[in-house]
Amino acid sequence: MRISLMALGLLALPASAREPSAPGRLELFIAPEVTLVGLSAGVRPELLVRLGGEGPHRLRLAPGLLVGPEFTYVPVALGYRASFRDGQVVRPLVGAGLEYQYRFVSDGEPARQLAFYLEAGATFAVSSRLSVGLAGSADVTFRGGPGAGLGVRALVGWML
Amino acid sequence: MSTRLRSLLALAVLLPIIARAHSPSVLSPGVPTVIEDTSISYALYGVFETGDEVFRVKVSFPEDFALPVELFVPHREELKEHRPAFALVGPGLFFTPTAEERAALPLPLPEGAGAYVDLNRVSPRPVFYETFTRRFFWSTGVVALVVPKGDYEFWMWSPHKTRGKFGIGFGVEEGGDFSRAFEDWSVYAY
Repeated sequence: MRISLMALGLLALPASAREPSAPGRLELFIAPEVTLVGLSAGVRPELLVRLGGEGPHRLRLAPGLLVGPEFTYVPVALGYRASFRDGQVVRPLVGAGLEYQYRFVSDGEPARQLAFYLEAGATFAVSSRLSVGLAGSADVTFRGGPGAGLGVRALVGWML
Repeated sequence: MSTRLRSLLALAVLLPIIARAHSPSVLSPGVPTVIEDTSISYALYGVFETGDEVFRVKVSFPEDFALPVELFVPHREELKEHRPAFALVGPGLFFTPTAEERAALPLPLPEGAGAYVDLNRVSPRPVFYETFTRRFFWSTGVVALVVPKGDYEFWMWSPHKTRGKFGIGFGVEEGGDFSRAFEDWSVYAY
């Protein structure tokens, strides 16, 4: 009986928690995102390139397409992300980088800004390749006019 | 990193943003808003709930002034036809409204007063992006009014009884109390 319960318990755990995942070099996230200052919502694909083999370090490239009640928003972020606890179920992440922010309307000049962003969140391993998560980010613009922003996004990731 | 150093870093990031923002405030119809310090610029926000309201703002200038002014509306599809008008009214103004402008005024022009009237009919409508709130607005276009020292009033009204949010921005030196924006956030937000 004890063995059966242990077996059930193991089955309930995601594969990644039972066996170390073979770290892929690339990871792709599809991230539905909402920006709270300059309201908009849309999708933010993220391509993560692992730096230096195993370890938390990743290069993040994240273009996006978001639509708000007043404008369409196309951001492109390039930065660093650290994702901890590889092979565990819960994997915290933090990151920072630069973001080009392009907002446009149909009848006026577009707004182009450059921002520094910080992000934090966590992903949860569903299998050795699939993960889901949640992240928040804050940014401060230093080109194209002053401002600060907040964003929240869900993460659905696949290790390539 | 010490708490003091972290606080200083946070201030270094936030202060330039706060210092460059217009001082915000919310307008109420029927109750004139009194601007005590015209040496800084303002962004005053209001909502036409019925379209019949008249918003008034009292300003005083201790010396002659070149006053930039614009009225703006959020750049949203449902506000495409929302074109509130404004007038600056006072005894020392050199502007003389046309008969059409005078007829459009929501209140009788005081005896001896001049008025600069903008009926917000410019086409295409100027659009600007406000970097602090990250929003787009339709504007009347900025005009710089030569205002002799004295007491004046802004009047804002909706000539076609359209309803919706609007704001009026005026003044030169940016600054003021940004924290007031949080008191009436729903007016500034979506």
